[in-house]
Amino acid sequence: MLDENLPDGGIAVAPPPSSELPVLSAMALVKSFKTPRGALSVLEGITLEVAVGEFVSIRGASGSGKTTLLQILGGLDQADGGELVWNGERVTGRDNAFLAKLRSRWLGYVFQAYHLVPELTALENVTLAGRIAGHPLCEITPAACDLLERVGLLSRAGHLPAQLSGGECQRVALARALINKPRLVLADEPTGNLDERTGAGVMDMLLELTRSEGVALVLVTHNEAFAQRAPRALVLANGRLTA
Amino acid sequence: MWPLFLAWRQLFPPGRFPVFASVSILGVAFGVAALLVVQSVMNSFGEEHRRRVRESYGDVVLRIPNSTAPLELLESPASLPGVAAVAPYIEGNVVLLPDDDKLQFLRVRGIDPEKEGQVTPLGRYFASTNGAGSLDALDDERVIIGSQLARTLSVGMGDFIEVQSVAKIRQMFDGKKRMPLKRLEVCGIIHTGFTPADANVILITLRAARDLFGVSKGYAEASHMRLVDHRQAPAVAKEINGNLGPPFVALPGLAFRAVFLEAVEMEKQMLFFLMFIITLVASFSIGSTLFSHVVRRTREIGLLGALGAQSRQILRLFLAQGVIIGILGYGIGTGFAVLLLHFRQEIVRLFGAEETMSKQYMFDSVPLHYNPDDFLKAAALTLFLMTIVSLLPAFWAARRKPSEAMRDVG
Repeated sequence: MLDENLPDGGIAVAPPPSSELPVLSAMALVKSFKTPRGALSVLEGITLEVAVGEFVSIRGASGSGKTTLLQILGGLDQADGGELVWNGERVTGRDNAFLAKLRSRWLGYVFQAYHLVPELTALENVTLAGRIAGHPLCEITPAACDLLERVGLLSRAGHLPAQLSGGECQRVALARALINKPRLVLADEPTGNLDERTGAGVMDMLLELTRSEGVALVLVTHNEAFAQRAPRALVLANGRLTA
Repeated sequence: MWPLFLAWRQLFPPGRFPVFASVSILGVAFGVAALLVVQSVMNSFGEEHRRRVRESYGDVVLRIPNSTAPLELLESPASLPGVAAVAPYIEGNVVLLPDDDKLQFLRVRGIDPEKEGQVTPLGRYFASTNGAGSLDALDDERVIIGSQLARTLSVGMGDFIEVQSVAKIRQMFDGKKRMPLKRLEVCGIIHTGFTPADANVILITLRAARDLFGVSKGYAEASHMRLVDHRQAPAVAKEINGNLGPPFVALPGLAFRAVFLEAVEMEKQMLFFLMFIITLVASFSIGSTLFSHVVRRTREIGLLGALGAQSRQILRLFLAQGVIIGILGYGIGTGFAVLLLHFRQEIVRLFGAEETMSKQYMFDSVPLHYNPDDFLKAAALTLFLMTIVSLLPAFWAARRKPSEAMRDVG
């Protein structure tokens, strides 16, 4: 849905009607990078709102700024301008410690390259995210086992990432993203390193898990078929989001 | 606690040989072992020298310089608290005439056999491998000599040596009456393992010494004493000086070899300084390896940030790795040091340095006295250096922005 009234001409897609605060509100986000040829504008006024439990996909060509947008939405990077709000909490301009604390509680990440810690077992990779969020190990371990069971990897809980296939690694990463019961999962090309069939399986699992947990999902992908599974499928091109 | 858990896992990954940790820990261990071996050996030399000096001179020596004094005054400190035993003695230079007609000038000590054994552990040295005889056998016609001197003179138990005091020989040269040599039978050979004692000791009775050196009956040159606690020597000496006053002078036994003992202590400190520099260089080398280890983990640093890890937790993660390396390196290094020190004699023999040891340090074997301070100092130094060299990579990691860290690996 195009919001013609926005001052920067950005696109806002309205979430489904809900009495709850949106889990994510981005207003007029701007980002550019310095290059030898001058500033390269990547995001030019992105406005996006994601409601509780909503699934939003963002598709775009390589280099369109999808990952940069996701990192800014997740507080891993700072926008040059605009405003970001998580669950009604304004996070723009807040210090890293504050952002890290909120990130561990409210956000879950799934990366293209899985990013599992190679020295930890599948179970330990999942519990690590819980421990970082401040949960005691004894409390988080049953929850981690439950999640590993739901992604079909409980029997491989003691295996290291090197002993798992790409699809299995990504399923561990899904469990890790959900261990702290986040309100929003940000998935950056979660099937990008997988073959079509495995990727489809991981995608099904991601959608099923986020839906059953009532967790909102922002999926960044260049796969049109996966993107179209979202009720709201957006396209990032020339620094702007379009429906 | 998760940074400590992850630090341990990153150093010792399951199912893989921990190359980085092993090399770093061994680097620290060798440095610590070198430091502890050098410090312990030097400390042992110092401690052994101090013990031997105390055994030779006593804990405290009382005398009137260049004179003799009545026995009752020299033995008066026996009533002081903290003084365990007092023994008088007379010392003087003698000329010794061995069978090969080569004159030797030596220093002889006249002792009271009954009292001397309570001040110095002479009895122990008769029983050693190269020793023979006993203190009880000493009388006015007999002598006890050091094992090395016995070898030099080619004399053994029951053999005779002939001596005369330098003062009486001078009188003979001055044209006074002829002074016959005093003939003494060897009734004891002591072996202390301390070259100056073994090469020079000649012990005779106090009465025989009075005859040789012309000292009146009831007089002696000095007395020495053993204290209940040898560390109280300066205080006891001060008390005796206060009680007797000039011309009596009481000094701690260690004061007689103060310059030498200070040199040994200085040598220990200099070696500590040199070893500190070596350890410092090794630590920075490990720090550089740690830095590359941290840089290789940029992706994980970004991941931890994305999962919500605070900068201070990431700092702790990499600081903990340095501290773990330091603690394990110190533990293994201490083990190496104890092992090397256990086989010290074999190592000296392997390098053919026994003679040098005897000449330079005056011991026929390497003494060993562990000093807890050396171990505490090495532990503190290791932990301090490893913390310092870990801080730089740890700060670097803690300051990385998650987005930058993850972008670094594409």
